[in-house]
Amino acid sequence: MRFKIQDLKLKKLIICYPLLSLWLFAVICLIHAVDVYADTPTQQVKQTVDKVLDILKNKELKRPEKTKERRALIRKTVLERFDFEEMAKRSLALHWRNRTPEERKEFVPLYTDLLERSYIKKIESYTDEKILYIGEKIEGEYSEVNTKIVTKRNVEVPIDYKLLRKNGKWEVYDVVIEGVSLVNNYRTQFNKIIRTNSYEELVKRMKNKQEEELFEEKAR
Amino acid sequence: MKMVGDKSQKSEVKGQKNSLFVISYSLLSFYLLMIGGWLIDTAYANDNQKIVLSLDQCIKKAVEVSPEIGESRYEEEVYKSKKLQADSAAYPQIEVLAIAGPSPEAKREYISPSINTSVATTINGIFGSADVTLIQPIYTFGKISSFKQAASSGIRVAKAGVDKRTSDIILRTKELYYSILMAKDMRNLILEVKDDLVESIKKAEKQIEIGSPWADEINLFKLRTFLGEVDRNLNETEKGIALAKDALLTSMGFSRGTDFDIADTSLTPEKKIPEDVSVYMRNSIEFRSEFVQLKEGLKARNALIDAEKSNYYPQLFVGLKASVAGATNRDKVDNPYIYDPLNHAYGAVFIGIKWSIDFGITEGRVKEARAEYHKLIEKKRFADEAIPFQVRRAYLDMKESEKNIVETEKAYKNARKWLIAAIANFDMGIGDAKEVADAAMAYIQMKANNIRSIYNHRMSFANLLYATGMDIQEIK
Repeated sequence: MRFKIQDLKLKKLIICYPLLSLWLFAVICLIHAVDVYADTPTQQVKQTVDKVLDILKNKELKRPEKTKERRALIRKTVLERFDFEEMAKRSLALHWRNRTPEERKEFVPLYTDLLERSYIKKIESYTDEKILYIGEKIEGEYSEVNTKIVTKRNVEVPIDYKLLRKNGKWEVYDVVIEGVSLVNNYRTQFNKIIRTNSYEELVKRMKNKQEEELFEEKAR
Repeated sequence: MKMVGDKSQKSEVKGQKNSLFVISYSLLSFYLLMIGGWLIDTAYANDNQKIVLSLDQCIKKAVEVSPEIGESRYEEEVYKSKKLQADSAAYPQIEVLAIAGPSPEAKREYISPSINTSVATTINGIFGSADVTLIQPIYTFGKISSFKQAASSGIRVAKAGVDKRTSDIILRTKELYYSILMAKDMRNLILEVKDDLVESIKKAEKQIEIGSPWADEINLFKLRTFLGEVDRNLNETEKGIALAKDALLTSMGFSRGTDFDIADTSLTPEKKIPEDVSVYMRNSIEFRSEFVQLKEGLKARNALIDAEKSNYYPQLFVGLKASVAGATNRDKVDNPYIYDPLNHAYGAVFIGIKWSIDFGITEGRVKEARAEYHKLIEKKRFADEAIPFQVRRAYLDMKESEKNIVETEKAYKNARKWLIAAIANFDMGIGDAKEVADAAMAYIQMKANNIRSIYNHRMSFANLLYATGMDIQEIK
């Protein structure tokens, strides 16, 4: 009898627990989904920019011996918002199709690394600049966030982020600085090098730059 | 007792009043001292405060303290005094002479029944006499009215002179104000470049220090050379700002060491939409002070010719003359043939003419006045040609600078894009440093050209307002 009761309880538990878990999982997913969709592209870009600025303002991380740690944190934050693979794909454009999976596997991290370094170098020089969010456009899965950096000498630098929605999250696939699209610029330059030289020459030049950067990083 | 009581009460009241007065007076004095102290403190604090003035405030202050305008205002006073003299010439002029002194004795016996020719002079009395002459011009053949006209026009010429000086000061103040702004913008541009340059030098130095195979010492030398040039330009700009500030301070009556700055931070193109050139041409004829001066000057010169011409003719007038004298020791003799200067009384009304006849002096003066008139006509002819040219030139300058702002803005924005793309390519390893340097140079040149175009636009608009006399209308 005692066993029976226990058996019944167990039966109940066995039936109810997965149901409860499923229900809880659904609620969590919904909350998460609501949270993700509630954020506009501007809010999502702002979250990332604010996080980076918090890292830069952190007195502890400002110390020279903390440079590696600070940069790693910035890199991690930037990676969460930037879709570097999409950027690399768009930068290579027609030439992306001709690339083997190995070449693509080699190119994307190389491109990401150089772009990240360039972004980090720029952003590290920001101290008291004001960042203004001045507009937003959404067209289906694409959006654009318009910002303006006001420097300490009162110079306004317009920076627009182009975003693509992937799995409910807005990801940056191009940055337009004062009217210059990084992706468009790289597309033209990459195309020129590949057409006049070769894809291998392009990768060689990029690797050379990466080596230079790594050498300097190690020397620090 | 009652009286004594009243007295003591009165003295008590008086005593209370006195005490109240003393207390009130002390309190008042205390408050006054407090207020005085506060005022002194405030004045001292104000002395130490930085003075920040907008363009309008600078113009107002410079006009207020200008010695040139003060001089021109006194010129106006001179003509006002001449007008007063001309106006008063139409009224009677009265001359009074009153004297008193010791009087020699004179008795009627000295001449009656026979004239005594040896009388000893005995001064034993005093005399007093008064003579009054009144002259009222009747007809002057246009002399008075011509002088009145000349003086009235003279006042208007002097007023236009004040406007001319004010206009000069407005233009000078604008030039200094815009120069400071231009220099500040140039300084910002230089500092923007310098920041990047210093960063690049640090990076190049680091590369050499760590023995990077990508390091190039020649690049470092080039960067340092460029930095020297940037610093030289920066020093020149700083000197320009300091000199322009000094000149502006002095023109506003402040001492050289005053902590001063202008309210604007950056030079922007003139916001007012320009009218058609024909509007400016019309306005120059109406408002330009030189035109007013010439128009009124010609009227004055013409009136002076008439005034000189009136000297060909006599001046007609009526008059009244009265004389009275009396002495304590002289007998009065009633005889029309005998006149005693110390004892008499008479009056007379008369009509008269005053006429100076010469053989060429008046004609010479008329000719001289005519020559002065013609000199002014020639001046007007020159102004009629030169001022519209000045207006048109300022207008075309403004139009040119307006277009230049657009063109240089396009140029520097493209240079900026070139620089951004060149840096992006350099960071990606697909662009060289020379491309970045070329783009940076082009950006600096184009941006500097844009700043100069904005300055030229501002100045040509100021010149246009000066050439048309509209700057005065604006501050009025």
